Amino acid sequence: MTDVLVIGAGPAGMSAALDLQQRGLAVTVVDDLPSPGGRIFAAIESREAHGGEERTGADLAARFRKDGGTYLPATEVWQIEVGPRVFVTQSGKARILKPRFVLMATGAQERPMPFPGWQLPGVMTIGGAQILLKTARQIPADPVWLAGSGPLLLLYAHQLISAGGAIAGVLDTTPTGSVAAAAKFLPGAVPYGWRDLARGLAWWVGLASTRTIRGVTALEAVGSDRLESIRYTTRSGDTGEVPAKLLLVHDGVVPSLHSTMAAGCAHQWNDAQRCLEPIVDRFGRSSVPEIFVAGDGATIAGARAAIVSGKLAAIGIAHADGKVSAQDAEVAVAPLRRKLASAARFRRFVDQAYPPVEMAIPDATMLCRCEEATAGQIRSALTGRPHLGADGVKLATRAGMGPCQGRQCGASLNRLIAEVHGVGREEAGFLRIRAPLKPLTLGELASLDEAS
Amino acid sequence: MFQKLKAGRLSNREVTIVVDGVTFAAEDGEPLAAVLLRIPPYSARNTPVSGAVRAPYCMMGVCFDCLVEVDGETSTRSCLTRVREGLSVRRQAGRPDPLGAGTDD
Repeated sequence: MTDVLVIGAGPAGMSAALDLQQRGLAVTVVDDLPSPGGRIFAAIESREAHGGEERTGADLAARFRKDGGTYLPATEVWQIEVGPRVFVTQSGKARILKPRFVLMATGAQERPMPFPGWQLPGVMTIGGAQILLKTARQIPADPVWLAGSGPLLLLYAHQLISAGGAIAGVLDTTPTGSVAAAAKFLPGAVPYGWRDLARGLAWWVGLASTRTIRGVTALEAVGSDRLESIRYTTRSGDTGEVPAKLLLVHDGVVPSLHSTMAAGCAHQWNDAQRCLEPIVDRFGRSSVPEIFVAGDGATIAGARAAIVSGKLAAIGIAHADGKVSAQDAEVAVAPLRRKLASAARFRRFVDQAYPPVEMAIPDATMLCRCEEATAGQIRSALTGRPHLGADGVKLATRAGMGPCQGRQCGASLNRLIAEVHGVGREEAGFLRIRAPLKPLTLGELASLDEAS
Repeated sequence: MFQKLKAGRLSNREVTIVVDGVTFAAEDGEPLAAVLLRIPPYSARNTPVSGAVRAPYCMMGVCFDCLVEVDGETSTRSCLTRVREGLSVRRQAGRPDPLGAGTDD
C-alpha cells in the first residue's frame, strides 16, 4: 500500500521521500534511471564526489537507499489518470499504482536550441556531454567547440579542461552587457550563492585563454552525414566558418513538463526564465489537489533548492493528509521558505547574467527532429490561420508527433505560434500531452494487471 | 568522437557487447549510448522519415535520437540502457518492423 508516489529520484524526490517516510506515510519512488541521484547527481554512488554539493548528493542518496521507502529504479511512468492512477513499466512489466498523493519531482531538461543542422551527428548538448563525463567518464576525443550561454557551459568547460580534454573555441551567445546589467542583483545573490559565484568566476577566468567568439546571434551546423563545420554570425554582422567534428550546445534548462501536463495540472508562463511551469501553491500543491510538484520540475532553482522544495512539498502532503495541523505545517515550512526565497534571489542574478537566449529560428531549421518538419513548413501552416494552435499545427505538419512527443520541439512550436499569430507565449499554448508518455511495447501493455 | 579518460582504459569491470555483429569491450553499467559514441560510425540510427543518420544528442532520455534495438527490443533509448555482459545491439534503420523485431536479416 502506497500513500504517496514520488516520481523522480533526484534531489527533490529523494528529500521528499525521506521526509514523508519519517512522518509515517508509506512512499514509493519510481525513477527512470538505474540508480538514485537524478541527472544532476547521475551515478553519484559509483563515482568520486567533487565538492560540497556532490557530497551532499552522495549523502542524500545513501540516506534515501536506507530510509526512502520502496524504490523502483529503471521504471518509466507512461500514464497519469485522475484518482490518481499512475501507469508504470519496469523490466517489461506494466502495472498501475494507486497512491493517495503523487509528488512530481521530474526535474529539468535542457532548453531545446534549434538551428540549421542541429540534428546532425556531431552536434550534442553540453548537458549530455556532462552526463557522459559523470556516468561513463568519457570526454571528446578532439578539441571541441562549445556554443551557447549559461553557467553549465562554464562548468563543463572547467570540468573538461580539468579532465585533460581540450576546447577548440567558444561561440558565446550571451547578450552583450547582460553580466554587467546583473550586477544590481549581486548583493541579493551572495548569501545563498557565494560559493557558486566564486567558482563561476574561477571557471570564467579559466576560459580566458580559450578562443572565444562573442555576441553570436546565429549558428549553422554544416555537413552531409555528420558535422563538418560550423558557420556563425555575430551581432556586428561578422560571419565565419570553422571546421569541427563535435559541437556541444546549451541554452539553459527548463522544467520537464510532460508529467504535469499529462496529469492536467495548470501551467503558467515564467517570463524571466522564458518557459512554462506548473502553477503550485505555497506548499507545492498543483491545480490538481492530489498532485504536488517539487524541485526544478516546479521552477528552475537548482539542486540545493530542490532538496529544500522536496521537504516543503512533503510537509504540504502530510498537511493535506491530516497528519500535520495547519499551524504546525506553517511553522515547519517557514525556514524552508526563507531558504527558497534566498535561492530565488540568487537565481534572479543568474537569469539576468545569462538570460535565455532563444536565437532566431531560420526557416531551414528542422524544428521537429523526429518527424523532420522545418520551421518554414510550420510557419507557412500557421500563416493566415490564427485559429491554429499547437495541436492544429501538429496535425498539419506532424511536428510533435514523433517518439519524443514534443520534448525537443514543443517549446519552439510555442515560440513560432506566438511569433506568427502575434500573441503571448502563455496564450500560444503547448502541445496536448497524451499517453503513453514513454514508448510502450504491446507486450508491456498486455502484461498490465488491473489488480496489481 | 569520444574517448574514455586516460586514453581508453576502462576501470569498472570490463564486459563485451555485440553491436551489429561486431564485438566491443565496454564498461559494466555505463550508458549504451556512451559506447556508440566511442565506436565508428558514432551513430545510433537512421530516421524513418528521410533515412538520415542520427546519433545520441541529449543523453537524458528526451530526444529519442539514440534509439537502437537491444536484445530484440526495438526503439530502445540507448542513453537510458545500461551496458551488461553479452548485450546484443543493432543500430536501427528506419521504422522498425513490429513483426520482424529480433530476427536476423
